[in-house]
Amino acid sequence: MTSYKKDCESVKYMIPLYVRGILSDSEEKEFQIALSECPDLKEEIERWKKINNAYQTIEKTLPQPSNRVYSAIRERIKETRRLSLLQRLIPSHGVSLALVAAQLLIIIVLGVYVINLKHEYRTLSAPSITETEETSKTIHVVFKEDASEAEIRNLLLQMNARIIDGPCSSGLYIIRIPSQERLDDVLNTLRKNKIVVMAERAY
Amino acid sequence: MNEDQLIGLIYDIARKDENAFKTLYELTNKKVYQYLFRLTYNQHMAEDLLIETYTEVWKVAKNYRSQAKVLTWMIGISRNIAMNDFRRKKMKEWDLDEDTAIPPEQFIAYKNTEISLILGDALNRLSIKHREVLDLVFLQGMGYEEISCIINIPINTVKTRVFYAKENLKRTLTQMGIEKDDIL
Repeated sequence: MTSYKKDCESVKYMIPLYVRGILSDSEEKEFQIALSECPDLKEEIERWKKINNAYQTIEKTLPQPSNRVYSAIRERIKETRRLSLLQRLIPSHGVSLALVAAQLLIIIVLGVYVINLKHEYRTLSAPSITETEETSKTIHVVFKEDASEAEIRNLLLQMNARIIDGPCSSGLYIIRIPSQERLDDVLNTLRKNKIVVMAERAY
Repeated sequence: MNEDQLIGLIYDIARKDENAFKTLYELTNKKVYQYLFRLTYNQHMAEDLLIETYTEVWKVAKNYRSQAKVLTWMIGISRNIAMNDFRRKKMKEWDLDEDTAIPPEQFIAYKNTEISLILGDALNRLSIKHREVLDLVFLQGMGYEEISCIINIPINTVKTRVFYAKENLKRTLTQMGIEKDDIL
């Protein structure tokens, strides 16, 4: 009796499919055997048949899609094709990411370079002197009135000197020489030069 | 609708054959639309979801593997699209995992109405979760395995859900003022 009940219960779930006519041949055979042994199933089958009939009534009342649907689908497909063409023209995600990474790297390298850059302003016509005010030596010089700019520049270049101020109204220039130059030698050279009127160490 | 023909059409669509796509649409649109209309009870929304579904079929036809029947695969796509749409619009009443039914009204005029119409009304009042499995069996003619593929639940869960749907149908009939012994 227990086995009988168990078999009847196990085929009960097949009833909706049986009523709808979608059981496979082997399932249908199994179901028919169970049906002959389980009279209770017949009542259940009748109930499901009513549900199936109700669905047939429902199906008749269901609306159909309007004509706008297919043309809307065609439009969407055209749009999809345009997009996929664009995607083919634009580099893939991998390439785009690599480009972004390369740009970032360049920005970082340039940033580091700029931060570490020492700002140095140079007069292109004068020698480069990197000494600070404390480590260099300063001299006061007065040149003859008729001394040309070229003569003054040539003289200063010989001594690696540069003008840091002047000339003031009295014609005085303040020049600076690198610390490694001997002050006395520079003063002697200046004093011996025909375009120099006066050269003295500044204090 | 011959399954081999449908599979052939899908392979042609994967190669972007527009004629094959049109034929597939003509052969299947009513079934997919029926499913979507029964989910939404809104013609405009069901049509929008139908447009989305066929656009997706066009895009992903190359991914079709013949483990599932073509219509099962397409209804699965339409279900995913519908669920995403419901979630996006935060439409709780259409949450397919919820068990919310439309409250039945007491209705005396049922006495002289055909049983099929009464049952049809009661079926329409079931929760979407229960109505969906019955729709898939009786409207789409699908077996439990196909339904389990679409809803993504185990076959045994589909079987029990079908029977719970029938139990709820009985309860709904009683709430509608129909004696369950009269019909179910």
